[in-house]
Amino acid sequence: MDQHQNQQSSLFDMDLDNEARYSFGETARWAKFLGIVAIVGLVLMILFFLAFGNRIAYALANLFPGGITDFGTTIIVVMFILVAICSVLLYFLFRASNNIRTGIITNNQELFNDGLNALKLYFMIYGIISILTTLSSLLNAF
Amino acid sequence: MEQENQPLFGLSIDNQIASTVSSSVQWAKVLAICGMILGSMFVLLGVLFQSLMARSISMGGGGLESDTVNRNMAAGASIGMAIYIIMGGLTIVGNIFLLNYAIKTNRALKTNDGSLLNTGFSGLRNYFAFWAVLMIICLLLFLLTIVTAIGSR
Repeated sequence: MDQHQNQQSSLFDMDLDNEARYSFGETARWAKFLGIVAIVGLVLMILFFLAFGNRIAYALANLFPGGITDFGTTIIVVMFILVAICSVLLYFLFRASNNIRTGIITNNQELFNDGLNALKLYFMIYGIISILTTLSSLLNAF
Repeated sequence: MEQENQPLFGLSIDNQIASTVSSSVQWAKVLAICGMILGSMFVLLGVLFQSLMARSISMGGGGLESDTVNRNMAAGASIGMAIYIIMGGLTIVGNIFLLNYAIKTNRALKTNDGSLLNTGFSGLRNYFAFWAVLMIICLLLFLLTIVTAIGSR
């Protein structure tokens, strides 16, 4: 019985060797780096819109005189939505990279699993957003 | 006996986490395909924009008779097309890495192949590295533009 259980376990379990640990560790390191760069970009973008938001709104109002009346509010709403989505994505990216890396360093299976779960959620949210973006782009194009 | 069950380095991908990775791979595949569609649309839009501008210029540019204006419009259209094609091409290349990860990891989970799993995750590493480097380049260009704009005042 015990032997049977062992056989079943080895059938589904994939032990991580040194090469796999290196590969997962490197992926987590680059994911963290991407997260940090994305945060810098997000902060720069917010600063840019805080500094030049009024001028952009004024220029857009001149460019589309019959369009949206309050470009300032529209920019703030769009920025808020963008920052909220990016924050959620970055949270899961950081959680995935930190937990996978710590899990590998400390040999903690639970943390490692949590990291892979966070990576799944990251791809899920990003996937849904990209489906919506692609559909809206295709609808606009045709 | 229990020690024999432990993996050599302490970590393993069991049945439960394999299904989590499998689900992540499915979403990554969706993301990669959507990204490729968007990238292709960028390239198409660039080519379309350039050809429309070229046609408009050859038909007289909507009343614009000056050669200088026409030349400037043609140059603008070419630059616009180049930017769109580069953006589209980079998006497609980035998503090829992601698709690579999705396909190889999925196959590794199905065949229980450790080395293929490593190759799959290397694809994911390449995907993250590609976007990180690209984002740094974009941020530098953005900063350069702002500095130039402030300096020209």
